[in-house]
Amino acid sequence: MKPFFQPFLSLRPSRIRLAARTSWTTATLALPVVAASLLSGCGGSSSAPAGNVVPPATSSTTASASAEKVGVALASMNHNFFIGMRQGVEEGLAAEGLSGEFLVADDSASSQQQQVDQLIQKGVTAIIMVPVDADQAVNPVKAANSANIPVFSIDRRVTGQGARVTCTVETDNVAMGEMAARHGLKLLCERHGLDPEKPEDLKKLKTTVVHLWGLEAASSARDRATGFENVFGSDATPNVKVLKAVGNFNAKTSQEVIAPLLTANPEIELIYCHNDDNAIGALNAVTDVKKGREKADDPKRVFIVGIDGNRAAIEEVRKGNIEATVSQEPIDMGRETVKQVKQVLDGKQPEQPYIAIRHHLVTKKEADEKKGELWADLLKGGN
Amino acid sequence: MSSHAPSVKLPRIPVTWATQIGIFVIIVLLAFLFSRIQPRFFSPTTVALIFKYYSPVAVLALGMTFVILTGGIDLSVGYLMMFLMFVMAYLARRMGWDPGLAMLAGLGTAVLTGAAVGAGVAMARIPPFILTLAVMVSAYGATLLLSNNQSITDLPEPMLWLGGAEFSLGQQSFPVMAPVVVGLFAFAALVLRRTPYGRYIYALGSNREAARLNGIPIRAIEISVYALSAFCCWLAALMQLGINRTADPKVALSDSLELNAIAMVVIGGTSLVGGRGGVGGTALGVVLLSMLFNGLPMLGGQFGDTSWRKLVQGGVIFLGAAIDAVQRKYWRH
Repeated sequence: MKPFFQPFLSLRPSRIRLAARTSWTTATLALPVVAASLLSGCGGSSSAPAGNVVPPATSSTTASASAEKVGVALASMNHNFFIGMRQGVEEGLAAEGLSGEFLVADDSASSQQQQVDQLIQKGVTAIIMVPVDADQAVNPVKAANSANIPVFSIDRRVTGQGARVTCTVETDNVAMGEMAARHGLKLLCERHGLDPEKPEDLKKLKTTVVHLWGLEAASSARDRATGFENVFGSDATPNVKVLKAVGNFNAKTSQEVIAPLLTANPEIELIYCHNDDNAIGALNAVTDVKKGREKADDPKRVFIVGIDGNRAAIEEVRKGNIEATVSQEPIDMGRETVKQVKQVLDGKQPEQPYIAIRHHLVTKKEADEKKGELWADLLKGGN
Repeated sequence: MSSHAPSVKLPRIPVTWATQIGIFVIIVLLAFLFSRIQPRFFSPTTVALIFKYYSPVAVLALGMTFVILTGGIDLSVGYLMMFLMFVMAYLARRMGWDPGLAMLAGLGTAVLTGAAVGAGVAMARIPPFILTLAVMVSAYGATLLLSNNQSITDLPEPMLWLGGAEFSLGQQSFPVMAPVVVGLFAFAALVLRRTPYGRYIYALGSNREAARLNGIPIRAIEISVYALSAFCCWLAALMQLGINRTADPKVALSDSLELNAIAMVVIGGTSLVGGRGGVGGTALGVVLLSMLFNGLPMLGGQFGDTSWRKLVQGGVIFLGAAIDAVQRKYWRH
């Protein structure tokens, strides 16, 4: 085989350069495409334009022929939370004898607007919407208003002039953040022999805490940060050093950011996470750096608290690896919304314009006691 | 003065090494800077962590080096890796397959996909960036289909071994991936330098037509490098499973792995148009980028933010491409 190669070695550089130039154009062309694809890839979009019709699950197609069709415009299916929400809507529709048409906007406000227009043209009797963006949702809501179709919003409020949302079903992200942070504070106080109820004791608390952010642009992350800052701050806890880290609501990123932070600051005692993907990443990082998760009463154990109540996190709470998570109730949110839709379709008013769905702390005790009742246990598919 | 006076002889550094030496100097300077700011930067723990977290992308970069040497590019690596993680996890956990069998199925899927891409590039002459872009997006779609966008946990132990197993060296334990990755790079360097196959790759990347006229089986070689890249995706998938202890459908979304791999190859002096470079440079690129990614959060403050990570990523790619352009313009070889 060698002789084939030998003549090539005697090629003059000029010929090599000629070849180089032709493929260089290819490379130049490639770069913008790469950039564009990565931009869209980051948003988790699967490059779906407006017509991303997802047929409803079989359970919700059992409605009778005269059933009224409800349009459901979802923001994305990127988190377990949204999957649970969709499941709740589907179950609610089946229970009320309604049928649904589901569209997913893949986190793009403009494609959500087109999807709502599609739903209006198809003559749905009500629209359930998980707004991609609270401000940009004003236009689709106005369009539905002028077509006299009632709009119901889940998870995010639509705030804007002239947009009328019949009913909003939400959870309080600030309160959830505060609840998780308070539980972390309580654990720290117990370890340091202080009383979390006494302000003078809190001033004595001296430790280092990581504030692990989700996506900095997401409203849920900002609200959960506010909740954290309501508990830990220079006034309430002046001797607590807070280190900021950003985990992008992603386990891998969180793991890669928290591990070096722990190496550099071995005195860290608590990692407060904006969601449970972050918490799983933080747990992996702690295990990697500290070599094994110490016993629950070990004085050097790094506490981890998360938010959402994902299945993976609940499993770790049950194993005693994550101290606690604040569970939302996405399935309930979906069901409750459909209940309000039915009420309005029957000619009544919704119970309230804003309905807050409960959230609750899940430590090992609650996770074991409420086994089978938590949304993580009720979610279909997956493991 | 006579016009025949001998000109001053500078010590000749082989041009192909100039970039690598430059990058090595940058690495040393950066390491010095980091350790001045953060004394704990140079610890066995840090070395172990870097090997643990950046071995998968190093393996992706290794496969990418072969592809780029032929003048191609493989954008699918990150998402293909994630898809393979789910192929294996799905078969083992949902279908109840034997873990070994599931891993073999993952290997088969990888090599078949890679060979198909290679065939598309070699036979149908489809530009590799558009073809692998298609694979990248479809791999994500297929991942969502398999996963229902949920993690698969409780994976069987054999699947977690490569990414999770550790060995002790004195006080510190290191991941098994460390010697595996070092060995793979050394083996790849041998293949590229010492075998006809390696030389054919350079020949193909330098001048496809000349290589063909010289009887080099360019189609087979092109198919093989994409298959090799996909094989590396499979290895990286096994590693990533062990690192995260679960199959997570957001792994590839976190950090644009394909971009990291390309950055590591390009900064290491491998030319984007093919025919020049090698895995030695890629190894330096891996060290540079993983050191930066691991070091930035240690500095504290906003350096741990995504913003700085992305700036480093973009800066390294730009620097690599710029060096490549300068080399092509001024240094003939």
